[in-house]
Amino acid sequence: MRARIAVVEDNPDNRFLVQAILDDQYDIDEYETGIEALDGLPGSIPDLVLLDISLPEMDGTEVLARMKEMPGLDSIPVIALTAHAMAGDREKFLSLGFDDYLTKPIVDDSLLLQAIATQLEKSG
Amino acid sequence: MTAGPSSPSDSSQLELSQDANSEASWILEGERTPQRATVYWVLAAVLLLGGVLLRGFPEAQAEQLHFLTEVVATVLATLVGALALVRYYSKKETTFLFIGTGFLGTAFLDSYHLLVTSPLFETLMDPSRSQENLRAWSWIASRVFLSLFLFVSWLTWRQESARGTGRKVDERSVYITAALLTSVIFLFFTRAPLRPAIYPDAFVPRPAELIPALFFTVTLVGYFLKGAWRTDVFEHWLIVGLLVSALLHGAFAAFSSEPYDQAFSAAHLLKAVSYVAILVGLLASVFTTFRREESAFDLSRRANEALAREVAVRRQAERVLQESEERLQDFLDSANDLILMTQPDGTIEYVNRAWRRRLGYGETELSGRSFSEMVDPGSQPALEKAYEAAITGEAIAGLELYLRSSQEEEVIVRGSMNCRFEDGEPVSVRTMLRDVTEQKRAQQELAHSEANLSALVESTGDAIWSVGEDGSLITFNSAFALEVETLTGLEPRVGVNPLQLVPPDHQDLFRELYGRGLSGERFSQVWEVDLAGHGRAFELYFNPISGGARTVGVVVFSKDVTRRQRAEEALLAAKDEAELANQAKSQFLANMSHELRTPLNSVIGFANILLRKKDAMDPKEVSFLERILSNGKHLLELINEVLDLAKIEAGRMDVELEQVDLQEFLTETLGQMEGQIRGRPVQLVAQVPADLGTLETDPGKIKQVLINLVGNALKFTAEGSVTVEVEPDVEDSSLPQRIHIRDTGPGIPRDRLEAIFEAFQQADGSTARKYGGTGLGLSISRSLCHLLGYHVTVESELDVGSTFTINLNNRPGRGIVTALKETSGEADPKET
Repeated sequence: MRARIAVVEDNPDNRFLVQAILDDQYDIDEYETGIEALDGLPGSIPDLVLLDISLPEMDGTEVLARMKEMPGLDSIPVIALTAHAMAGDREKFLSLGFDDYLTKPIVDDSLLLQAIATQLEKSG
Repeated sequence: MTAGPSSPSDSSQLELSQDANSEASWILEGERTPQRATVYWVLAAVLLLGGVLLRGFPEAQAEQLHFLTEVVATVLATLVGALALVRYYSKKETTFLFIGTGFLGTAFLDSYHLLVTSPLFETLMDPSRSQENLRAWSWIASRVFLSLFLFVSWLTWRQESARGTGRKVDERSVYITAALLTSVIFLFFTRAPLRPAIYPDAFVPRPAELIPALFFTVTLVGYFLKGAWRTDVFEHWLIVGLLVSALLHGAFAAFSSEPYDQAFSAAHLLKAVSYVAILVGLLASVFTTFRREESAFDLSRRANEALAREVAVRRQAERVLQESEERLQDFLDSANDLILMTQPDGTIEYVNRAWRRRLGYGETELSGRSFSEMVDPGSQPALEKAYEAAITGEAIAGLELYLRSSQEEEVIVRGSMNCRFEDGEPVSVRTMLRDVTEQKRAQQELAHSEANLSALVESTGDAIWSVGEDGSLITFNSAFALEVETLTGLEPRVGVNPLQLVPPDHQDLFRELYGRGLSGERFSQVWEVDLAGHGRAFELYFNPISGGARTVGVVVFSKDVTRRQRAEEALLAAKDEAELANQAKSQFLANMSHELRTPLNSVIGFANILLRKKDAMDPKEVSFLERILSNGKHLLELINEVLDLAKIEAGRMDVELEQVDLQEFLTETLGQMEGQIRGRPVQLVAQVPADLGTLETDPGKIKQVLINLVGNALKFTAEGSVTVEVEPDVEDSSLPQRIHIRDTGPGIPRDRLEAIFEAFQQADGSTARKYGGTGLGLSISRSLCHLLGYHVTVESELDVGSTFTINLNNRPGRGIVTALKETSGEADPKET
């Protein structure tokens, strides 16, 4: 059975790219905004969430914080996939509770795949 | 008038007093004038009446009585005469000479009369001669004789008192006269035939009796008028005697018509009485004289004793005076004050020890000199003025003089001056002065210090004032006055309530502030006040004034900080603004990064996905995709580095220092770069001395620099080696000093050595095409090194290789923070 990955990303091109990279290995739920994600996730609990930070209305850090308060969602591994790649950003996001941090653009697919595999393995 | 023996020193008591003996009987009293005069009149009346009454009586046989009275009279007359002469010789009064002589003569004549009237004489006498006549005339002769002498005695007194004193009467001639007179009378009676003396039928049977009566009366009147009877006891009795004598003749004897009748006997008795009276007078006089002498002697003895006592008392007084003077001297000498006594003209009479000591003069050096010699010329007018005032009786206080000691030292004194007067004349000027030199100097020093302090306080434009315990203004400087006037239009004065000097709505604040200050709290407070539409700010420093255990006031120092306040506000605003701008800049950079990366995601991502199937694609199409991918990656790299550079230059790069073990650090860093030499004939070598100590640095930044420089070296080195060598300090081998990165690449032309550190400059234009890279690596490395206080240099030889050196400028005690200060804000990568 394939693992289910939720991708929260407002940019359609980026959603499309992530789907292209992952869809031969994983089932994918796409959400355009954080609010949508928080609405939808309880109905379709994924094994992992790829969460963008810059989202309209509610940014990724807030979405993560909400998820941590929601039973059933609080233990799902969440990887920050963001274009915020300034020095210090990595440390900042990991400290906020993200399980991993990857930057956009995704220069090497394998790094993304490997990170996902690692998290899935970790969460069992 | 009693002599008080208890007060011998009173010389007036030394006068002789007749009444010294208060026991004296009225006989001796000299001051019974009214009674005496009364006695005379009564006596005269009694005798006259007696004479008239006796005239009617018949004759009586009184021969025996006559004999007896004549014997008594003779004895009495002798006694009186003798006593009177004694009295005369003791007092030398002519009266007594005549009285004495008169009575002695009378005694002789009386004895003759006695003789002729005695029965014995009848037998001896010539019977032819009339016995009766002789008896009568001998009586008369004796009486005339006596009355004459008494009259002469009065006459002599009168003449003497008229001529003045002086005894002209020769006593011998008086005696001779008396002797001759008695002898003549005696002879006359023996030889001359005598006429009868009694005419029994006449109104006055014996007219001859009127002769002595006349003399006695005249004498009596004379002595009475003399007046001495009032005080002199003898003269009193003399007058009694004269009165009796005058009347015994005038009232009795003259009317005796025959011998031995009543009148005859009474006259004889009265004769004895008159003698007795005079004798009593003499005795009383003598007694009084004796008493007087005794009294005088007693008084003089007492006076002597008094004198002796007085002498003793005076000696004692002198001794006491001397002791008292010594004590006074000692007292004056023990005084610390300078005491001086001069004559009214300033000539020194006395100075005490303190004076001599303070002014350096010897004990006797000063007498006769003038006070003004010791007074400083500047004080002479004050001295003269003081003397003038003192001599007119004014007491001068607060006299201040500058004196000169014998060593010309200045001595400042203050005190009083006054003058002693005798009978309204100034006698001596007393001056009591206290040495106030030290006090004065202290005052002057205090005044200087106060002047200094005042100048200090006045020298500032900041307001300074102080408030006392009672909350009133004590002192303030002119800056304070100016500020108060500007703020309230009031003029501050010492003693006012300082709360009135601030605008009314600030009084509560100041009440609280002064209260805090007066409770001993030291604090500062910024006070803002609106002045004519302009906000003013003052920083007030409250400093309690400590008066021992408690706070006695508070000094307030006010600094106008309006300008500073505004500058600070402006600075804060500018800082806020700058921070906002910086934040905006950072945000902009972050956003820029985000926004530039997002589209690249699609470019790079989809190129990658397409290239997964490159085996099934036309090689030309594959090559197109690869171009898209590599340019996308290059663009990403550019974006990253431009943002880094921008961040450094914006000063947004924080430095986080750690102790870094370079051996470990290099191994790890170079390990990450091994991928770049895989399959290439290039060696990557690290050379680190074994005993090297740690380096305090920001590992993230130094790593970025190393990756950059080593990456560059690897990129340009086709074959050979890239060596990273850490060089320790020459003196301390544990101290890392330089890091060299050596390559065996193509080298850099000399003229490009500096340019390569500039952004987008590579050794030559073709390099980028050949080796790739953004052209920003060296720029960023140099900037990062600047940030850390390091310095990057390069040496190169074409076709041999290049060596980049990071000079760590590592000095003991020299932290990077210091270096940061030197370099921050001018992290200009172009600077070498």
